[in-house]
Amino acid sequence: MAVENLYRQVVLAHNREPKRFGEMPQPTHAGAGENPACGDMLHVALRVDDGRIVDLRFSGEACAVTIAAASMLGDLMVDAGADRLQELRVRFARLLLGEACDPALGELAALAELARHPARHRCALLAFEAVQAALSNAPIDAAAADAARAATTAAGGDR
Amino acid sequence: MNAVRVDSSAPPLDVQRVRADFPGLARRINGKPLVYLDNANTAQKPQCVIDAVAAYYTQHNANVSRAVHTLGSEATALYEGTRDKLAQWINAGSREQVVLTSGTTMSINLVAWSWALPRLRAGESIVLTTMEHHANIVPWQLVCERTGATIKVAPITQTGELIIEELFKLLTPEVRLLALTHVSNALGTVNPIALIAAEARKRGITVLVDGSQALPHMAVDVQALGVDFYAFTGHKMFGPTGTGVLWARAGLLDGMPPFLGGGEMIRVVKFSGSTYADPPHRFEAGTPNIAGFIGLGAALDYMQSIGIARIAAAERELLHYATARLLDIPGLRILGQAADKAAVISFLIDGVHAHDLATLIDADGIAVRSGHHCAHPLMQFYGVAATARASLSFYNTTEEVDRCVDALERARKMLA
Repeated sequence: MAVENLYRQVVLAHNREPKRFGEMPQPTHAGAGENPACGDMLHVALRVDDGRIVDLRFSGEACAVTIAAASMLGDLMVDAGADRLQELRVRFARLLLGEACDPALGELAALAELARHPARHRCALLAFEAVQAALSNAPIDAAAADAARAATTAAGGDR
Repeated sequence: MNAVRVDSSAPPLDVQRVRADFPGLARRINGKPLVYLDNANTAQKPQCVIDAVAAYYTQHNANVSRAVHTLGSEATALYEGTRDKLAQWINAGSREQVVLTSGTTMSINLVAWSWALPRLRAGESIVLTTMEHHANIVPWQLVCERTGATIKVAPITQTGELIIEELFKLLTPEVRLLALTHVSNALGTVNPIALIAAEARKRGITVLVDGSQALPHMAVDVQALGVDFYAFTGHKMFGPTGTGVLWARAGLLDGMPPFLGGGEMIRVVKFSGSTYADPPHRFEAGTPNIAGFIGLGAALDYMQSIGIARIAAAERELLHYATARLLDIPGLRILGQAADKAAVISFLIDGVHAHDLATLIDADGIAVRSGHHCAHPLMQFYGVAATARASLSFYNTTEEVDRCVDALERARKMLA
């Protein structure tokens, strides 16, 4: 049955135990993607060094397709930058159009069945949108954030 | 007040017979017979409606109210005939109080632009409720942006019922308009409109009711409800899409300027200035959805032949059955448990997102809606992003409910 090709074991596994979900203490960049069809919101926090993502964390509650896609995309974006995201986005768009599986997409290729579920494309694209937004947003001023925190806590902070 | 009037003497519905009237119900989806439980979104159409639309295009195709030839007269008679049927259906008082629009959204926008915008001032306010559809929120926000008026929101209980005394407390002297839904599209709650409208009228507040979800399920007598404006849509009551109605209390439309300008809505046009037709045509600029309204006339004839009392009785049975069956599913929670409720069931299953549910059960041929149901503020009230919604019509069966429950169980086991 086609729908079981979408909800494959690898997708269900990523949904049950998504990778890189949780809070990041000191991100350099943050962004979010929103799905107007259901109101789901996916947040992402990045630590970027010299244009490359050193670490990333997603957060938010969303459907299995969104969660799995974020978990899978995270794997591909560590030690990569905006150009990599752009390239993956184009490759993923081809997958959504039903073109042949692309090994460069890693586990994201498991979502190929989405070609038959156009109403769910937006769910899978939310992670791309969130990372894109985070990279486009102005960097979080970590020094200023630290100073503000220091001012509201006892002198001689915990750093 | 319970607006659902059920005549217990009416013989029960032969559901297999009525199903045969709806060709759409014979579809197979993914190799399975369709189970259509998205009726609050739009209803399936009986063959007689499809035939009426086709007959217009094949036999009577002409524009209305402007051609003296035979076809023009036929088209006009059929189109205006629907206005008469609608007027009778809702006890309008007169056909002149029935404005034909493209749907509830346009009906509400018409009131926003032609009635509210010229009247409201800074310091005045509009009262809405937490359970409104975006179509009964955003037009009023547009009015407020332009007038400086403000919006106040009447609260609801966790069961999804208006807190009437809190609503009444909001009806203070600066309130000009109370706009609320008759039946919640997301919860199924039936609001006690007559009771609320009586209080608002006593305080000189104009009342607009969004009746989109009421008309398919119950008899509606707009004069007995005591409201000022009543808006509804044709496609949820088995008619074509792009058809709707704005009913207004006698005299109200006379004082309202045109909403859209164009043909059909004028008396005399000169470049020095034009004069406008009397209501309802003043608000019907341009060529209308002629085929759609002819189809809606056929839909009303069809509902008449079934009987609204039998429709309401069948849906009440289905609602009770479906509610009990769904609650057997572990971790399933229903949003909206009002005492007076239409056959709409919004639900969540622990650990399973509504979109995943809807996709998974679609594989079994089952159509439900998932999402926020165009009611963001209501979803925010319940602290959820999305729900799944099964909305039932008189042509649904208990076997279909069983198939839906079985499919949901399979989806839950897969994802939870």
